[in-house]
Amino acid sequence: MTALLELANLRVGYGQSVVLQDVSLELHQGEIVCLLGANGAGKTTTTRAVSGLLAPWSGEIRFAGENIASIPAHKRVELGICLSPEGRQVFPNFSVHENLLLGSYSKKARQRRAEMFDEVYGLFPRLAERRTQKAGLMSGGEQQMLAIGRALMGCPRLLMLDEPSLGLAPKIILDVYEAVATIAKRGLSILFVEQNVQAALLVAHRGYVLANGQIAAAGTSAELQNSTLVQEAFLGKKPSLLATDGARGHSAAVPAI
Amino acid sequence: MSTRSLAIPVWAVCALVLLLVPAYGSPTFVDLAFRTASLIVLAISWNLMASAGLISLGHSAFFGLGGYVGILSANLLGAPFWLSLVGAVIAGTLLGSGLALITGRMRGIYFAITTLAASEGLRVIAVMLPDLTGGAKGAYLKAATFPGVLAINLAMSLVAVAACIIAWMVSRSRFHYAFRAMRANEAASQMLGIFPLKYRTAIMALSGGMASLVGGVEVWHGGYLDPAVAFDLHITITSQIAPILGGIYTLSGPILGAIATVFLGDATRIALGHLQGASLLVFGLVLVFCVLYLPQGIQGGLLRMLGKRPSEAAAEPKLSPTVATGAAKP
Repeated sequence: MTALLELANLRVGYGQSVVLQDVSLELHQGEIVCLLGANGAGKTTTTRAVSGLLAPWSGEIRFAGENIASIPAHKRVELGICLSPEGRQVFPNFSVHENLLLGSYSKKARQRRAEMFDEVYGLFPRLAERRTQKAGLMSGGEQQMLAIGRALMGCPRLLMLDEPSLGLAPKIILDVYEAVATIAKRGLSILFVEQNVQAALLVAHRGYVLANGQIAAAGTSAELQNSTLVQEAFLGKKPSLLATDGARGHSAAVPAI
Repeated sequence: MSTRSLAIPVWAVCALVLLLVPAYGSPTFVDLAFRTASLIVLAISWNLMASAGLISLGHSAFFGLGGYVGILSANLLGAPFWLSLVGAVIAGTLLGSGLALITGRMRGIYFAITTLAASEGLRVIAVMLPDLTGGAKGAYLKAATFPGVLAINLAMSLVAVAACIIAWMVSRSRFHYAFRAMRANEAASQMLGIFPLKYRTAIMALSGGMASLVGGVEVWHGGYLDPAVAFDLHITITSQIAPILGGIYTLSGPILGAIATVFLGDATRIALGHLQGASLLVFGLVLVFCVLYLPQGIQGGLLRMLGKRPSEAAAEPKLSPTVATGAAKP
C-alpha cells in the first residue's frame, strides 16, 4: 500500500541555514497524523516544503506515489494539497465569503464550489453567520476557522493545518479541534502541526516528534502520550536512543549527536 | 439600489460626451477632452497594476516607448496612424510582460525602483541613439498620411472609453480576486493555487499596452517627441496622482481623479498663471488637502455623501446567485 504522502530524507533550509536535516515520514489515506515539536524544530518548514512554498535541497516528497518535489506550489493545490498556514494568514480586507471564494480558486475546486460552500458553512455555522464581515475584524478563533475553511474549499486530498491552536483561548482550541475531528470522520487525510501536545494527541491517529530538524520519535497517539521522549523533545533534553516504533512499522530516525 | 442603477446611465452619458466633444466642441473643450481622456487611460493603467500590489514609478517608460514606436513607425516605415498605434500597443505589452518577468517576485519599493530605472534607462537609450530618435534634439513626425485632427482626438476618446470598459471587465472577472489576494499577501495567494507570476505578467502586459497606446496617440497629436518629453517623470507622477486623488483600487476612482487633476491644473494655471510658480504651489497644496481630508479619494467621499460606507467591495461584483443560495443554508 503506497502512502498518500511520503517524505524521504527531506533536507530543507533557508538561505545558508539548514532547518530540516533529514526527515522521513509517511501518511496514509484517511489518516490523521500530527507533527509535534518545540519552537524551531522544523514543523512549519515541513508544511511549507510539502505545499511547495519552499524547495527541498535534497530528498523526495511523494504524493500518491508521485514525486512532486519539482511541482510549483499553485499546481500542488490542484493535486489536492491544501494548507491552512501558521498564523492563519486570512485576507483581512476580504469578507469571510470572499476568503472562502479564494480558497476554491483552482480549476478543480471551482467546479465543486457550491457544494464546498455548503460543507464549510455547515461545519462552521459561525462563518455562515459572518459571511459579509471583514476577516480582519473577527476573533482569532473565527479567523482560524476561516483559514481551515478556506483550505477545505480547495477540495483537498491532504489537508495540512499549521498550528491551528496558535494564540487561541483553551475553550476555542477545543472548538477548533472538534471541527478537525468532524472533518477527519469524513475520511479526509490530515497532517497537522501542533505545539499543544494534549490537544493534538486527542485527535491524531499517529504522531511524529521533530527535534532539531530530525524525527526524534514516532508512534501512535497512545504510545506518544506515555512517552518520555515527547517531554524530552519539548524540554530540549537530548533525545535518547529509545525509539517508540511507529504503528505502521517504520523505525524512528534517531539523531546521532 | 437607486445609485447603482443610476451609475450606468451616468457613465454612458459621460462616455458619449467624451466621444462627441472632438467633433462638436470648441477648441478649448476639444483640448480639455483630449488631455482628460489621455490621463484617464494612464490612471486606469496605473490603477490596474496597483490593484495587484504593483506600484509603478515607471509609467513614463510605457508612454515614451509607445510614443517612439508611433513616431518611428510613421517616419521610417511610413505606417499610417492606426497601424502605428497597433505597434505602440504591442511594444507596451511586450515591455510590460518583460518587466514582469524581470522583476519576478519583487514587491513594494523594490518593484517601484525597478520600474523607475526602466524608464530612465529607456530615456538614456533614446538620447544615445541620435540616428534613430534624433537624440536630445528630438524628432518631428513626418507621416506619409495624416489622419486629421478630428480622427486623432476621437481616437483618444475612444481609447479612454475602451480602457474604462476593460477595467470594468477585469473588475467583474474572477481574476479580480486573484489580483486583490496578491496585493494582500502574495505567499498566501500562492497557497490557494494562484500563480502570482502569471497574473503579474498579464496585468503588466495589459497596463503597459494601455499606457503605450496613450504615448502613441499623443505623438500624433503633438507631432514632436524628444527623450525628455517621452520619458518625463511628470507622466509617471500624474498617472498615479489621478487614481490616488480619485480613489485608489476602485473602478471610478481613476476616472474621477483624472478629471479632477486636469480641471485643478487648469484652474490654478488660469487663476494664478501670472505669478510664476504660484499655480503649481496651489495645485500641490490642494492635492495635499485632498489626501488629508479625502483618504479614500473622491470616490470614497462621494459614497460617504450618499450615506454609504466606502469600501473596496463597492467596486466589486455581487456573487453569483448559485453561490449565494448555496451558502445561505448552513
